[in-house]
Amino acid sequence: MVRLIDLGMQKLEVMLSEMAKEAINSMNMLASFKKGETARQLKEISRKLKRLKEEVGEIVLEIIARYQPMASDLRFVKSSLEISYDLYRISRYSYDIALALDDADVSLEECMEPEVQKNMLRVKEMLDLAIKSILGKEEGLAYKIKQMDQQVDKAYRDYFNKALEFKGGRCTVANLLIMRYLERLADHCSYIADEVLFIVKGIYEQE
Amino acid sequence: MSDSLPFVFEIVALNVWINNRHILKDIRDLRIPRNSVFAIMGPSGSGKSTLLKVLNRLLELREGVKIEGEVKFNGENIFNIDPIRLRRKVGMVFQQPNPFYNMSIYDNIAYAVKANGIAKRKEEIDEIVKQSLIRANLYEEVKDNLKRQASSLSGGEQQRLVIARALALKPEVLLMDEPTSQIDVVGARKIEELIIELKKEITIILVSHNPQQAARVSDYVSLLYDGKLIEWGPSQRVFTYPKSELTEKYVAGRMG
Repeated sequence: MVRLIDLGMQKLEVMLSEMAKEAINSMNMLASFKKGETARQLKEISRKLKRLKEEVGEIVLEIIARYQPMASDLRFVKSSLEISYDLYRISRYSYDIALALDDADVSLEECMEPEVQKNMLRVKEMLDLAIKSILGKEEGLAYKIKQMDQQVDKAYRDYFNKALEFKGGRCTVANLLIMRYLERLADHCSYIADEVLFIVKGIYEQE
Repeated sequence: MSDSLPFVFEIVALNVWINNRHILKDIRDLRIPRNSVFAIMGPSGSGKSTLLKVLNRLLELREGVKIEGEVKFNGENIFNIDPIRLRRKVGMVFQQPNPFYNMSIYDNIAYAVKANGIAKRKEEIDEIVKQSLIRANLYEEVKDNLKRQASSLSGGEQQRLVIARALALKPEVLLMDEPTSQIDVVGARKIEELIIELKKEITIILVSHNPQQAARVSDYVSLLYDGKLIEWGPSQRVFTYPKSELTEKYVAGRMG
């Protein structure tokens, strides 16, 4: 027999899947960046995810108030709230990257340095893994994401130090901003991994 | 008996049979921390009420009961303690409110005080009655007419009168067997608030079939299933991440 709470939980799962799809989409759009247009599209996606995040919050509140979830239900409901925020932030940072390129009036083809490109691919992989880890509640993937987050952090620090030595220029500023936003994107993937570990193991692991 | 131990009760080992039916099965190493609310959950027939009645030796009043094991109260085996003395320290509140219906509110408490030799002088008894009603959060509702019959009170008020009567004997522990199951929502909420208030002074062991209620009021929680102790621990941990699959199913409403 279906429990009443399951209807609300299924709704949450559907919404998170939709948000995940849009978050992945927002990162993919950066690969085919077009001045002005990409930022405009990403702004729309980011707004949509913000709305969905608020809806997730309302559903979570309703589930808690109506059904007082316990055990794995409680963990999933609580984590849904956090994950929806992370997915929204991921779309927002993708938009910020597009905005940085527009503001610097450069394109990815002319500016993107190999380490920036490598880091972007790494963060995209992290996001894919994060989505898979949510859907499959796979702790192994969650640990992998946390390891990759350290690599992204290191790449950002290295590039930052390298940029200090440069004389500057549009591309350097754009790349530095991209690296900074990628570092934040990776953090949100890592937070999703934390939530997956909480759903599976019931505790937040210390760094 | 020592009240300086961190645990008021310790079930070292316990087996109970009623009419040759094994009701409580090898319950071990269950410790009830002092000044806490300890909830015992479980489906009907799991042995919750039986366990509660073992703790103040009420079960032994029934025929066909066989108890084996060791249960410590303040470090002393309860089966070596005079039952009357034990019940003074370990009060009990039942599912169905059971005030003395033909007595007044005042007499319900005064009678218990006198019968147990707590006080003799009228002024002293008056004060105990008043303080007990205050502690049971009932005084404000009844102070203008303490001579009212207990039967004129609502179900929730009757239950709080029973609690006030138990508190008048200055117990260390209050055993509560589904104390809100016969009471409306408002009355139940008041009893839950009272439970939280009382744990500052005494230990409360609460039998509840309702995980949500146990989550609201308890500091520690246990699950009994088919007479076996499945799991116990801090409520926050058990309700968030139960160790046992049975507990997971029970608290999440997936059982049966």
